[in-house]
Amino acid sequence: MTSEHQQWQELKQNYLKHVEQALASVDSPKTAEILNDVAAHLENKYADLPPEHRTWEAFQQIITEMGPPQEYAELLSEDTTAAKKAAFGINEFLAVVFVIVLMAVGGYMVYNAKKIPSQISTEKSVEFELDEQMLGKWISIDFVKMIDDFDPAKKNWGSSLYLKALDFQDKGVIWWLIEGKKYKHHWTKGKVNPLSERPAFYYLRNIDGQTYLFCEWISGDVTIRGQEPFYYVFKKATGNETIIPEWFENDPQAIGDWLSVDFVKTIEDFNPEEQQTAELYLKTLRFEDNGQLWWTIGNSQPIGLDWTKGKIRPFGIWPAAYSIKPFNGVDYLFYEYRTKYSNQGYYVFKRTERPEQVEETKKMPFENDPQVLGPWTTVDFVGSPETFQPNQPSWRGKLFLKSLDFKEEGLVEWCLGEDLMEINHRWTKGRLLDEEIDARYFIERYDDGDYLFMEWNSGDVTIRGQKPAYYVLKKAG
Amino acid sequence: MYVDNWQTQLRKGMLDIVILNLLSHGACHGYEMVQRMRKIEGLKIREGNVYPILARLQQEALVESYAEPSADGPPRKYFKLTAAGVETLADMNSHWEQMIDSIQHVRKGDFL
Repeated sequence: MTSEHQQWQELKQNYLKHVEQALASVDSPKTAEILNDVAAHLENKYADLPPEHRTWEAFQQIITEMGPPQEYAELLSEDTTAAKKAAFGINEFLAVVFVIVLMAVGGYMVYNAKKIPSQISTEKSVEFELDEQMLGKWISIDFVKMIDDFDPAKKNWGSSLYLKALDFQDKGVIWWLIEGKKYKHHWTKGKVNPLSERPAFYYLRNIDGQTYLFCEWISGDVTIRGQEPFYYVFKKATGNETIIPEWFENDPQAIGDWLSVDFVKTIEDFNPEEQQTAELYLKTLRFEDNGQLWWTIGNSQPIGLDWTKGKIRPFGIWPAAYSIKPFNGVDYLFYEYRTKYSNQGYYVFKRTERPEQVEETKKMPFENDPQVLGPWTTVDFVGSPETFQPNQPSWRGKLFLKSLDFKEEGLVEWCLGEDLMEINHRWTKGRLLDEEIDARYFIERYDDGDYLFMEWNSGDVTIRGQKPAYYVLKKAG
Repeated sequence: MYVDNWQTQLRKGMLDIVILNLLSHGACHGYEMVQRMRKIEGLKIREGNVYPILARLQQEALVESYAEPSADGPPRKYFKLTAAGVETLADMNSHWEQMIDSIQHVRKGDFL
């Protein structure tokens, strides 16, 4: 297998894994067939690429053009929804039944919380056996074929890690953190998802005085194709600190956000006075101080990569170099755009203002706002607050932000997406903020009650400088 | 932003009728279908989108698949309309034309 083919296989498998994860939320007998079709499609795309164009960037482009994994589930599940509506026409009734079942299960869990060991409440039940050393958060640091492949000093997996962390909680609940979202699963001593046909077994290993968790990753390669599972490798988090990989060397000069401004054959060709006017393929870079780099291509969502001082994708097959040079007192970052065989040129990036804003928001003290405390439910999404009419919501699509619940201690619970995932961020009077967020809010009184308007700062706002749109939320209860 | 979202939703909503109409011109494999759709202005879809829709259409028995040997690799999976698919597509096309007609009337203000 050639190196570029190996890299393609890695990207392809990673994408298929994400699609499989997304399809797992849909009850359909066709999911395995879709995965096979998508795999065949990807192979066709690869075969159609002329050998001289088989670059890592071209592979990323193919993956981007396939679309977000979540769309597979959305497009597949439309039929299920329609079928339910046609057959029963009583979705409200089902929702009520669901709430009653949830309440019953909740009551049962509260009752059982006093008992140890407790029961994991699912249709089938399994005795939960506590493994105290597992409790708490574990941050993923690598993905390996075999446990013995793991080397703390060198990352084995060339791409960004899909599963970011595991949070083991007592009474059998475990949260998976995947790309900023939380997914609830179950665990008991020695295994995760103990009720599934193929649980994921986990193991602890002490390497050079440090404990590492190895947890099997049960993908379709295991359940459908009968292959042996790979292992995610985790390190225990002792607080809210970020785990810094041992291979990572920081470069404070690179930290932050960069916007592409030019593409040049050599660094010497760059002239800040004569920048590119045509649209550039690579749009943005964000260097984080934990070895994580995010870049965007076209209008795609950010793609995660590894970086260390002077190198991007240091463990990929074709690591790329970057360097930072000042021109007329302004720093420019030169990213080496290369194929397996040669350097094709350099993307030139200019720093954006965002990192300073982030620093500013981090320093902001908490100031209470009694008016905003409590839960708010999203009712609309508008281009500007003036266009909002309480009785005539303008947004016809699904609302991604479902609700906000402001707590007195400066935390606000966001509820997002169709799977109602919950994420906590900080807030202070007039602002919702965190490392990734800086949105202003204000409250307006209408005839039927108070409405909260929250800025939605998408890439259109932070990168392209457009005006923000607004989520509109109504005070619950 | 509103128009972008509307266009995305519209494209997704139309994928069923587009795929069925493509198949009405003859059996086709998924990859070929995507290449054809990409050439049509305004139908620039995300390539992966066709597969969950083809799966749904198969579940509804409007489309069926079969394998055919390929000269340059493993057998290819082809999709074709079933008799029920042909019938349903005729209904869908008729409804589509009616919709276009109605929207035209609204645009021209014929109903006023």
